[in-house]
Amino acid sequence: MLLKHLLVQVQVIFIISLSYHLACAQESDCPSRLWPAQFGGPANAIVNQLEAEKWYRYKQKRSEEALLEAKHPQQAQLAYKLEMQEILSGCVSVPTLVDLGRALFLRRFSRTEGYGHGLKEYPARSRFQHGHFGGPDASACVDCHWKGGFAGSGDRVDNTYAFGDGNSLSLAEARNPPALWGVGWVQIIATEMSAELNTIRQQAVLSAQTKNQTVKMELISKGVSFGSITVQAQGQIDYTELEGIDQDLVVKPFGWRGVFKTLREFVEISAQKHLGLQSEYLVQVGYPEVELGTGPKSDPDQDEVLRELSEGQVTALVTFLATLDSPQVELPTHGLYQVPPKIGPLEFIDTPAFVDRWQKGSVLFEQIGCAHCHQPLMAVNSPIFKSEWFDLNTQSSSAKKASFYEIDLSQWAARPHPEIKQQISQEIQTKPVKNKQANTQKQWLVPVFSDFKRHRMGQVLKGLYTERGVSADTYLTRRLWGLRKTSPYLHHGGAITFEEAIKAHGSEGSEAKEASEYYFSLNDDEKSSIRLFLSSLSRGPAIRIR
Amino acid sequence: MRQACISPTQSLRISILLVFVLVVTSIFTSIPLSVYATPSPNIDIEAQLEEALELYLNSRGEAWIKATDPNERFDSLFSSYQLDLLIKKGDFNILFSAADESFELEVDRMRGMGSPPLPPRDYPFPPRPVHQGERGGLDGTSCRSCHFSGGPDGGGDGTSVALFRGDGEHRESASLRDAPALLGIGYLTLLAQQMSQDLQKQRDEAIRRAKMAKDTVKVDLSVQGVSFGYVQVSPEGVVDYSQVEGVSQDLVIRPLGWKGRHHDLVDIADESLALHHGLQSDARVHKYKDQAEKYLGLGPEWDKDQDQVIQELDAGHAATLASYMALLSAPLYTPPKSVSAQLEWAQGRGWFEQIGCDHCHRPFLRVMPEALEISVQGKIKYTTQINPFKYGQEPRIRRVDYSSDAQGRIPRGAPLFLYSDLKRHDLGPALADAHDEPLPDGTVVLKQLWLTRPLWGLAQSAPYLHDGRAQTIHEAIMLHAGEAKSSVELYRHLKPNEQGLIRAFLMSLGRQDVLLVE
Repeated sequence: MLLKHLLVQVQVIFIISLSYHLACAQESDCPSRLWPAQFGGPANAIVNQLEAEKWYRYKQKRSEEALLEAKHPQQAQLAYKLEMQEILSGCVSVPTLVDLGRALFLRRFSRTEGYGHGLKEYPARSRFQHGHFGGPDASACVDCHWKGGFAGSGDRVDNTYAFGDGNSLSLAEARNPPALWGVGWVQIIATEMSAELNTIRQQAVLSAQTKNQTVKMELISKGVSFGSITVQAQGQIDYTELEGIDQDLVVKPFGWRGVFKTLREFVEISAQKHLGLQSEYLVQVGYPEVELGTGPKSDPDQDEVLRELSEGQVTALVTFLATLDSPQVELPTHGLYQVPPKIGPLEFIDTPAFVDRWQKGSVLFEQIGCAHCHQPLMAVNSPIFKSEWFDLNTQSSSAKKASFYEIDLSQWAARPHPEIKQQISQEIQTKPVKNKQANTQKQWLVPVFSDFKRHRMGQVLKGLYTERGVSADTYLTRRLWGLRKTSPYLHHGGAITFEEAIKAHGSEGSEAKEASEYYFSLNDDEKSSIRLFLSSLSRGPAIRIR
Repeated sequence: MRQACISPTQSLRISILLVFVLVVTSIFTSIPLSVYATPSPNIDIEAQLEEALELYLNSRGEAWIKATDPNERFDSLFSSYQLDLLIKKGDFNILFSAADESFELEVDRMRGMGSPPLPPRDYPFPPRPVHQGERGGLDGTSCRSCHFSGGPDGGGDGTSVALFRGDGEHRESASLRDAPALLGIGYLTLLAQQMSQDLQKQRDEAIRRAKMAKDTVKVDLSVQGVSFGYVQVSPEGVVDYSQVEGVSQDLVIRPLGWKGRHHDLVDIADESLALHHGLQSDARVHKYKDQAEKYLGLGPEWDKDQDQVIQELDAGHAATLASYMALLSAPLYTPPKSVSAQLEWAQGRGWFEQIGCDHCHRPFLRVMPEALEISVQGKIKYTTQINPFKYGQEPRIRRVDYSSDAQGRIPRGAPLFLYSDLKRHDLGPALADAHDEPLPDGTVVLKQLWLTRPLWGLAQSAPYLHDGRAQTIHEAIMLHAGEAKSSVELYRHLKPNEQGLIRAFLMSLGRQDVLLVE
């Protein structure tokens, strides 16, 4: 008994000294502040005991936080604020930033924080959006992005009905929320492609100048052809042969029609249109085709809340989204064998028949031409994700210069994330090279299943309005990764089965008409192989505690 | 602080030494380290993880089978014969897990989704969010699409708002309804049934007394302390229902729906499947065969909704879904962990009662444990009995208190902590619906009347109110008006600290955590 007592005292001493040690060892002068419930950084999509315990502890913390917020809402709201200066001073570690982003993603903002608007000409919440102003039509980001896993896609009921008059269904365009997994890598791919295309254009201009004749250059980046440009000797550029991209040669990978360039733009515009939260940048500078309301310049939505989303908060959200895990392919090696329906026991067995079919399906996917647009792998040269931010405190409102907050996705992105492939460069060296590393180039292969190019999709999929100059029947190739988890399919969520989606690709005026018809001309065995292949495009199972 | 510190390396050495000591001692004694940590969790993570993982592997395998052979209609909804067999054998767990799967099953054209105008087979079906009268529209793809906030069988979130009884085109023609939480719905239905029987007994007693006394008799209708107004019966036995309040004139309490629309689980299952997914059951066809154009469609008897799919749902299917709902677990109190917070929690409950919220949101009502009868009337009638008290999912409702009331009697029944009086109240013009709601039996509920929403499970079902307009509990309280005006005024005049206590108390009306693998 005495021994036990003594040991208890030893434990007490240990804990006190440890905390003392931790407190003393801090060198920095970061001011202490409240944070929302911390998970501990990006959440891996891995199922094991460890992850389950992490999620469980997080859920407990969130419940406690909800209780605290019910008691003292003002104090709790402070935990969600973040300024860019705090991030730049090095006081915010990447895991903390990601945690804040996740907390913002889950948050049901109250009206005192700026949710919604106070304008008299629009109802407080509307299922149908009003023109380019928006709803709001949801109460949190996670309302629409939940299906198949956290930050996933939306169901048909989560559709937004945009660009209409707020009342009529036939005047609105339905938009199904796409899944957000792997968007950090998507932005990196788009940025690299834009840089490559711009380099080609610059080379064409230079070449036309030096040769003093008209030059026609093919625009190819990462194996995808965007048509060609013709440059006159004087420098005029003819864009009529351009395909699937705007004239600024910037690949815009977000949005169903491919109109948003960066994650940040997508986040800020969605916050306004779906939640009525106007970020600083939106209010001061703005984006095309977004209306802010008829209020005064500092508070256009007239809800008497200024700075509803600060640069720091937007950066946190963007960092969280960028570090989400990427969908992978789940090979059907071990599946379910079902003896009479449901009343008997079920067995899990090895399924070589499915694997065989999967291989056939994968080959057919390419053979019938799906892979031409839904390109399986895109290579990334550098895994650094750059989130831009602007210093909006300066007085001059003209041409704000962007700064970048960088994060290395190969280190910070949640697992699973794209794998590295090392490529030895093919250049012939004249001198013997000292460092062997200099010849190798690391590339990350991202299984996006998209070519980041816009295509015409025909009558059945035609919408009503042009969006930022993109015509109503043109869509960006949708990234098929994570497909199985993100039903229903297509931009309006109208296709529940794969066949319905493939059939819609085959209407008049569609670039995919041949591929679609080829699919339907196959026999049942081959069709089912392709369907099994599509069904393997999934997101690794992840844990969620509700 | 800096001066009193020992250097980092020294402190590191000391802490390593202490860690060593600690590890050694904890090996040789059995003092758990968790003495100073937070209390143990209320879920068994390992067991839940295994279960959730198996469910996931199950659904993944089925997705692969379905991809290769789309003619495989996974009928996890049982026929009436299979249902009888399961119930006789007592295999309620199998029944529940199979029906749970169908709760998440995505309804597609082959199953019978939708009604005309239909796009050709294999073409996509654009969504129809605004319902076309009583024919419904095309909302989510499965029950889970809307009923999941806080976990499976939960409520809806900001986007799970259905637009009922509209004209198919205009948002303003429809009534907005957020998806309510489904936990505990079996117990709720049973309670409403018992309360209705009580009210009807009181009315029948009044008729008997009036006839005997040959005089007009006035009888107050009240059940468990909740007053439903009064009836006046003339000596001939004619009943005057004009002073009945909060319930329909047939004295049937309808606890399901925001305005109290249904009292039967089979009815609501049938209606939800029809309005949200376009699936027509035999029972629905039988019920509305005289009003086919309004409710069913103009097709032939075997395919009234003209979607070329026959036998979309039969009696067994509807009964399985109703049994599933009857077996659902109940919400719980999730009180705070530390003692000081627990004392504040009690204070919050005290304030809740002091400002009069409990006048309508009554903390508990008592239900007698018995089996719920589930009967489906199609061409033939199918009846079965499900007892949620014996076979319901955990956490189940159990009889745990034996305290006596003011008269010294021990009241009968298990307490159901629903925080509602199951009565309709006027909540003022601001919260009023755009239109009155016509019920299936022909009566109409006025637009400003709402059934007191049970507050159990509140913590996880944000946003609040019938269309999800209130982001937080505070906003929800401030929007109450009409009959709740005095309580809201009292709430408004409380100090912020005291208001916070009430909200913190309401946040403890939660549900059990559930681990999902998805």
